[in-house]
Amino acid sequence: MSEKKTSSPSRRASGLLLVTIGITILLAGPILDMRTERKVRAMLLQVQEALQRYHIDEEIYPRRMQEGGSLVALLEDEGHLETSVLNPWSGERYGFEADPDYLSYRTDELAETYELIVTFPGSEEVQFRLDSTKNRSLE
Amino acid sequence: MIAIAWLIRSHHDRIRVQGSWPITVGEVRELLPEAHRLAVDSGPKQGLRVLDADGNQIGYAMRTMPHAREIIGYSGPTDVLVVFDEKDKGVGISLRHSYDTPSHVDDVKMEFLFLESWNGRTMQEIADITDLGDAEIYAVSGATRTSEAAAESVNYRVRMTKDAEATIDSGFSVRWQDFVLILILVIGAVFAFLKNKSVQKWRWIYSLTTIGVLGLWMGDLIAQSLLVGWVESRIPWSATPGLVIFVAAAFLIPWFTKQPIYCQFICPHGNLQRWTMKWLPAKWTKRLSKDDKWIGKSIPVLLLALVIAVSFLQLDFDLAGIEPFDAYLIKSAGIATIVVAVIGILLSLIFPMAYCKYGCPTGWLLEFVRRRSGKDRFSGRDWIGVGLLGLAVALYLIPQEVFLG
Repeated sequence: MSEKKTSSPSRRASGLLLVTIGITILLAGPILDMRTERKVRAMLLQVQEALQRYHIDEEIYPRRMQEGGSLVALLEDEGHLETSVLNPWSGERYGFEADPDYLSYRTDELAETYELIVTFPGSEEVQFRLDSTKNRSLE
Repeated sequence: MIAIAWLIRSHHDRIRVQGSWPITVGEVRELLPEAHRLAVDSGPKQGLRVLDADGNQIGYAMRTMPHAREIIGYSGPTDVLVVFDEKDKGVGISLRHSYDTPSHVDDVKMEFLFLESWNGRTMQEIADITDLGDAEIYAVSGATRTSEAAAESVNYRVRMTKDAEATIDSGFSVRWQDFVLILILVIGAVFAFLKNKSVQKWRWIYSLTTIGVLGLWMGDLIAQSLLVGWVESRIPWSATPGLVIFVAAAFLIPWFTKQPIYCQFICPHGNLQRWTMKWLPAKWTKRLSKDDKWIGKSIPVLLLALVIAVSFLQLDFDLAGIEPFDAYLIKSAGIATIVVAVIGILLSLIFPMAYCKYGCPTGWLLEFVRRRSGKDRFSGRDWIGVGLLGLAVALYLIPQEVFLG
């Protein structure tokens, strides 16, 4: 390539645009992940609070181990959720089976403890764990 | 640059002190009616100075979470706001958000006798409490565990504050690596300032030494991840004084002497690229067009914008991956930094010093300082600096919810 004496504004603009798009793509993934993470945190706190209300009323936590959608439906049906919970991965109301759901609910044999586990999408790695024994806060 | 660094530091102090649930002036005003503004205290207390409308400090506020997260009530910890007046005496507490059972938390919130138990006590008196009963702080009937946990959280948080104040220890330590860094800096300065042939003929040995010792052995290259880490938390004066002097000199020497000492003499990656220039025949190299050079020079600037965005938004993005410097520590290097290093070196085979000229955000910062030295005219680089400062101000002032939902 030889050194050109005149400059081409359109070439510079398209080059700059290309670089900007590249950098934006680098940032887009972490920003989207962070947005989802914040929604997951908010959802977990809502579900945790509803589980505590359930426990006050029923003396035990829900007996059945289940995924997030069915747990939210149960808590809503029994009036323990003050506001409807949005599925953080789809942005829609929780409960549609087709929607992605990475929240699972576990309990012990006597339903005296609970565990809310969120895994990273597409993996078994735990992203958040909120339970009634060791991990009681997200802070 | 200093303004951007200050904004990043202030932003992270705010996040460190305020956490996920920032204290608002409205909350404090309920306990201290003259409160007008809150200022983050980045000292050991890690709380907020309460200011009146004239800017005078009239009190101090702190929250118990996340410090007291292990203190569990009935089913979870509770975040308590603790407010002191200007004489360091408690004026009240209030329960903020809680992971505990909502009905129990509501019971405690209604029990004013309990909430006023800390009023009139100094921080030291609260820190000295070992038994709640002896201190006449009584649990709330019907919410015993929740209220006891809230009380313990308050005492723990205040005790932690006093302990932190008492144990501030500079712990100044000098390691052998500090001496090696200073030696490399001094020898680099010799080559930068003594231009006679009898000195310069040894430069090739120094150049190889920087690659081997500073790069592959010590891995102490100046990088965005290092600079941002220091700005976000603190400069480790006492833990690694040699590295601090080394980095400070890399910025200050060009400022005072116009000599790009780090980029041109010390940087192992720069020196590696210089060796590739020497090994390959000059006829293999190519020159970029004026437009392509212009486009290439925008890359470090946009990378700096990315660094600012990552720092302010606290994104899960490893800044080491945008530069090749971590690749020198081969055992611990990530894929991204290795890819950047390899591509940078390969490109420098065709376009001499390609990475330094068109890819290095740290080099851009050092060059920015050097070119500003003794110059009164506002240049294009200054406008870019203003743009980066504008981005930092915007990210500092605009609530994170706007970007992160």
